[in-house]
Amino acid sequence: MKPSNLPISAAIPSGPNSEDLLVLESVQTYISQFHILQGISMTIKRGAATVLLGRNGAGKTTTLKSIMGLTPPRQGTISYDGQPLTGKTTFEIARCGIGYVPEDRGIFRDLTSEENLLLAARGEKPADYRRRLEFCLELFPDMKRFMRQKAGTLSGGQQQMVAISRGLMTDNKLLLIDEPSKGLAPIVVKAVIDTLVRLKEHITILLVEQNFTMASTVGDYFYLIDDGHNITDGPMAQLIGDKELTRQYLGVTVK
Amino acid sequence: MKVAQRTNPYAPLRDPRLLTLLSVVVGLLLILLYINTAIKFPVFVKFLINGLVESAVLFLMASGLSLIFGLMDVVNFAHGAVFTWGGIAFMWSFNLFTMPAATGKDSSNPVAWMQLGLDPLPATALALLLGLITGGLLGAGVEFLAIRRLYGRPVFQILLTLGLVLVLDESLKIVFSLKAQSYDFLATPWPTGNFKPNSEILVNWKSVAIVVAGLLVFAGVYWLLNRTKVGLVIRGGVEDSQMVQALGYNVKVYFFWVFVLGSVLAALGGIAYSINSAGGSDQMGQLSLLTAFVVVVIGGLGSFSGAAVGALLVGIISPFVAYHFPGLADSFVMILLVLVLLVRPQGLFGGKKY
Repeated sequence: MKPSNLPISAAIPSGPNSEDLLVLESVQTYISQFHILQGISMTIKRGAATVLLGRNGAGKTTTLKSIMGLTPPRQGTISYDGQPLTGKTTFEIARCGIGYVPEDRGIFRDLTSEENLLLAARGEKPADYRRRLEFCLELFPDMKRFMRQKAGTLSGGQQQMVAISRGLMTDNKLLLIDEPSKGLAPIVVKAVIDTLVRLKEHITILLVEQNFTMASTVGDYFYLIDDGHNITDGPMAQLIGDKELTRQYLGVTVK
Repeated sequence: MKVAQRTNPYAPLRDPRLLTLLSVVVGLLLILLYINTAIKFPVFVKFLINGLVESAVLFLMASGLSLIFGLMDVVNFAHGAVFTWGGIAFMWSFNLFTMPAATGKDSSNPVAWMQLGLDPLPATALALLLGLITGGLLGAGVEFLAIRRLYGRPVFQILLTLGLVLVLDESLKIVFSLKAQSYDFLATPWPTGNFKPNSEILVNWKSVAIVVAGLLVFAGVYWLLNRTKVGLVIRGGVEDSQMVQALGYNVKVYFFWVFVLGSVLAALGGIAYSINSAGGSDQMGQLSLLTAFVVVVIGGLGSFSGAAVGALLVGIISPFVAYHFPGLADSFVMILLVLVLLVRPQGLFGGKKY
């Protein structure tokens, strides 16, 4: 449960703000006429796991979708690795090196697990594909058993393995993961937590999560939003210590 | 991450027993028809050959529709118009290519340069290319200018493509200056001649060419959809286009090319049709479109192999039905559709998205 120290590797590229991988500045997003994000600002540190917390309907999923350009923000700027993402389409944003694991996993049910991964490995050379696949199979040894099975017939946990692996099939630097615990049995949630903790060593993670155990175990930093506004943010330890805040906004009691 | 393997909660979508039953019924029907025609054995073979050719033409028409309607869920009534355009463009340019070079006042004709006096073989090849390009350009224009904005909105697609049918059918008459409803070849396009496997059976080489074209198209598109990365993007994009975009693919570009491919196949269907029946009319597309829609639905929406099986089923059985029950010749396709949908509402291979 203890938040780890920042595992930023020594090999940080030089440049202004090179510690910040993703920066959102007062992002405002509308879905049809509804004003969902009313000025969200965030800074995602390279090499760390940041957790986005908030009640249902706070705008967590919309924040991720705004980053991916699926619900393009109307105002505000988003920049990734020093370059602006604003105005880019979803596929261009993905090509910048952002992997997306949506809510409900978004796997292709009619394709086999292997085809899901092949599709995710956009433009990878066969050797790179094998290397990345090996990494994923090491992360999820169980996946070997259902590589040739239609992904629609897999259990929720198995689908989650495929969905996370998909984000690792290209040279992504950032992985956006939306509620990986949703609809999974507690024992499976625990397995997902272990995986994400291991994954943190390799890739920067922005995690949306309602499950406080997962959020506090995986996250190094947190952002708390409500009604499309920032409430507070800081190192994870600070949130774990603040019983009033967690009770008020997350409805959980931390013993 | 350890997760216990659950037994698969979804049984396979296809029930093999139903398919077996259906093939047995169809087989029995064929045997019955055979016994009926057996007194005249060559008649049976002739019917089979005619049925195969008809299946191939039907399949070429239905294959494009299977991509556009079955896979991408675009209700495209203009598909028949593209079929007609492809066929007429083929015949028209073939006729011009085989004409001797224009002289005198004829040479003021803007298309006089196309009168090359070619032999049937090169003229057919060139005209084939031109017909396919016509189909491709029409498809590209329709997708780029209109359908692109209407994905996932079937009512608007129906309204738009029904309007397009009127525009395309009328402009066809202007572009190719059609005077009458029917249009004929001025010379016989390649391939000509027959081959005789038996003293009583005569097969046109053109029939063979059409069947081979159908087989090649089936193999090619099946390979594209199931064995290539492009096919993966298309199959994934049909299921969840946003997620495919989030993996870094420009789905619009892929959908555009699928639509163009579907339209090229429609034009090829029109060309095969016009060669097979040695001519065509400005209505040939609309007449075949309904049958093609039925073939796609019988095969199962979204299943390319299904469209092939549907075309075979309709194409091979219909000559027999027309022979034994002339009254049912036209309604037979609909009866078959009702029968199939009663047994399998999702079509023969439906529920399998490619």
